[in-house]
Amino acid sequence: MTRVLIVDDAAFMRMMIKDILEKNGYDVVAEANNGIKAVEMYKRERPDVVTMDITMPDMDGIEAVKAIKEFDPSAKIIMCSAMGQQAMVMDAIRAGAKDFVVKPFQPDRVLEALSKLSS
Amino acid sequence: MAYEDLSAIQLDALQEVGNIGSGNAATALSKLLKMKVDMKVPSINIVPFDDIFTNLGGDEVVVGVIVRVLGDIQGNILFVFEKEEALYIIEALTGKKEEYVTEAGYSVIAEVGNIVASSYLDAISNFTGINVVPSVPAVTYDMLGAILSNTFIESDQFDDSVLDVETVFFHDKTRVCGHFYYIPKPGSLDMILNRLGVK
Repeated sequence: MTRVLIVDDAAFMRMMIKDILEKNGYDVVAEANNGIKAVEMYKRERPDVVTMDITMPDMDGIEAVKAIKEFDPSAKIIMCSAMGQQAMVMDAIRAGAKDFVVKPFQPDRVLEALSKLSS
Repeated sequence: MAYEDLSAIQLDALQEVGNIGSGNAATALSKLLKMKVDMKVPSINIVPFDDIFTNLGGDEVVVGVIVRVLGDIQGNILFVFEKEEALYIIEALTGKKEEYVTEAGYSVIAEVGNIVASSYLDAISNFTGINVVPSVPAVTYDMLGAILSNTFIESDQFDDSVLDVETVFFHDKTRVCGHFYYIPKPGSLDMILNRLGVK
């Protein structure tokens, strides 16, 4: 079972993503509500895939991707953010993210990104 | 519903609605200005009505674009720029440097407000499945406190405490580009929360 870490400052959005993933056979092993916690949880849980928000307090998602990639260059991270502008997508890809899902999203789009990465 | 009675998960869901609206609005603004636009984490402000005018910066004169929210939920969007920032945006879009905001400049600002408010509302509509329609924009030049309190009254919010969803957009890392407020009419929040399944 693919082990996933969900990172989003909104508990509501974490619940939504968790629900989609668990209904489709993914194992959500941890959640984080900011970039600092995300890095901490990544190191502890070593998940197969991470879903990462961008706009978060304390440390944003782009910085968190950089920190996680530094720790584990093979980390698989999908950005999941409402900030879909090109400059932001490029920043995320440059930092090491593999895919970018813009909110609001259809559940299928999240599942498609996950299955591409976990196959 | 009294705003003070909103639970933590309800506030969280509303904040995420603001985040999704603002993130998409930032994308539209970024395309329009051809530059990267950042934003702060949106905040849900619940403040005493009387504090709006006396708050810090309430007497500052600013340029505001107001867009009415029509459709199944109602309220107002207010996008506020400092004068210098309005002039900067006008120059970025027209190539003309102005000393003060002219009629043509106001029309540029109105269009910016229209595009940004429409992206914000489209995203909220897609997220919640609620039909939301923006009105044509109106531009005003007045004290921030006056514009804000008028917008709250327009949104039927004049009780002891009022609620708004605020986002600050900025570019070049720190330069504030504008303050964006979504001020829902009473009843809209219940509908949004119901649609999202957050009781």
